[in-house]
Amino acid sequence: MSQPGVASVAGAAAPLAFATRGLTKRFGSVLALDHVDLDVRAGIVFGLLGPNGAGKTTTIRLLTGLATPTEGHVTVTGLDVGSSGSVQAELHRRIGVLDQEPRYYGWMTGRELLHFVGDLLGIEGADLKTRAGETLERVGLTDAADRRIATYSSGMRQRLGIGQAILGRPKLLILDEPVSSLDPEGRRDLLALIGDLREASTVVLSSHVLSDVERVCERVAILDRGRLITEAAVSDLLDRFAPPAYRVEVDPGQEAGVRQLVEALGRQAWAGRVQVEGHGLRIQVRDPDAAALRLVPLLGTSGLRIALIERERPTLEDVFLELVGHEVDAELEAGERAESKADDEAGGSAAGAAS
Amino acid sequence: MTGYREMVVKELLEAWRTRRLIVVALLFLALGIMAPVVTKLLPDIIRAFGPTGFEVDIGTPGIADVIDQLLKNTIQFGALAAILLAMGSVATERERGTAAFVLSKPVTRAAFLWAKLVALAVVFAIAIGLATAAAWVYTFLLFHRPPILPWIELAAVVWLSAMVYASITFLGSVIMRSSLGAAGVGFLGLIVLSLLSIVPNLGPWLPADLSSVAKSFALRESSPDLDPVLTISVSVGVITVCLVLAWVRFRRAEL
Repeated sequence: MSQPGVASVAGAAAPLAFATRGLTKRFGSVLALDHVDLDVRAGIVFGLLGPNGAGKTTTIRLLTGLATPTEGHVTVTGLDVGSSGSVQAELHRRIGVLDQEPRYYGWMTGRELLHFVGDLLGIEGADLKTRAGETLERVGLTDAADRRIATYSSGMRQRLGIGQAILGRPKLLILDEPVSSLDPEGRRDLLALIGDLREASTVVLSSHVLSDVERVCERVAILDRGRLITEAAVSDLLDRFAPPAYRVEVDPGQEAGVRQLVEALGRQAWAGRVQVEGHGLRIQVRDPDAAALRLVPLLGTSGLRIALIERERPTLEDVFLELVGHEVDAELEAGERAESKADDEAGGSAAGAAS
Repeated sequence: MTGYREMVVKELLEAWRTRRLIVVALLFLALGIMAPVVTKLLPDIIRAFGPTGFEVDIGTPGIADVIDQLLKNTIQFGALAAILLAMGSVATERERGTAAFVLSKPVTRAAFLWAKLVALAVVFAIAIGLATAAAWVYTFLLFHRPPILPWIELAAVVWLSAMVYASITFLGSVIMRSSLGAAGVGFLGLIVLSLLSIVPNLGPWLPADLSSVAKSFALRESSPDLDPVLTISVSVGVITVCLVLAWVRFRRAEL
């Protein structure tokens, strides 16, 4: 595992799409980003993960120059973010951004917005007309192209946002929660689109939908409370951090038996986190060999009517929970220890009365 | 200033599409028409609606009265319109997130700001131009033909007056997080400048006295209490200071 705040560097010799050094952002007393060092090579789809408030959107705003770092610096495609106006303009020619909650000028039509963006990017005349038409078709907005944006649904605005972000064929495409308002068809189309773009652009995908990230991203960075927890290839993370798991489903009406099974699993050294989901259990295992030998006998002695036992493929969600969950647990434990110590120091009688 | 031309076109198109331009232009046009018509008809109106036996000698109205009426209407309404139009220019775009969208494109922050100010200036130029032209035509029809150049100068001074309050509110729109806060800054500026204008030795310098300057231009009259160059310079200075402060604040603003 990488040390917090220091990312491993992708091995390929491709140029850097972006790099951050000691990137720190404070909002008053809140530390939104804490000395993040990150190198992302060009030509990959890179996932930016983390729970709410982890610093993903702050990182994106710093990458695009919409916010200024408190410390550290960012380079995007070799250009320093925060440089003079002309460098910044060139930087913005190379970046396409989809905001978390895309909002555009409601009085424009979708087609006009793309023409406006094209004008800003220096795309002219027939080329702009053709490209705007192609983009509208690509994001499924051809029929609504000449309607005012004020009449668009949030899903349509998100599609338009994707359209304006890819219109200039950017070297770095940054998508902040791009599927949050999309229907399943839109989500599928977007993932296919990201796959198509991988040849020409580096894509940064910030999303809570971990299955999507796992499907399209080669590498991911996991942030938590402003700190970089790890940065690595998805396959490496799955190998290193995702514990194998078993899924067990039982016939309905055996809740008491399920509770007893959970207690029994808690006493097994080979068993890890156990989640009860409806009539099923998801059992993470610490020792796969021991689990393979002992799980079935344990289920046999539980007296439960078992409907299904299967070994699950580890997912990025498991990695995420493993890394971020442990961090959270460790902090909670540290907090509890500190509280306990403070109580002790405050005097046994007072603590006793309180308890 | 990368993106300046495109932003100016967008701002003007926005003023047209959102009907801001047409509404402001029509209101100023109405004010322009009303000034000579009301001035001409005022004695008849008083006679028609005054109490029976009520007699008052208000004299025969002339072009000076038309100009008084025109300036009163356009400068007062101009200040109000300036505050209403400028209050949301930056603050609303920040609130809605469209500023972040535009500024993630090849548009410098200077281009973003100045395009907005130019659009405001153009809207007021059109509206005040229409008001003055309409007033000139009706003055010609109801009184006699006034000279053209002094009226153009009058229009320019009225426009400058509106731009003073637009610039103060524009600064408020950059500083404040909401358009209501920006309007508050604009009204505060209006109140402070109005209060300062009653200070005897200070008043003639201030933008509030642009009305007297405009009248002196239109009637080709001068007064020892009036220093048009100084009053205009102070107004231009207020606008410049507001814009420089707006730029300094917006240059590194978090979006």
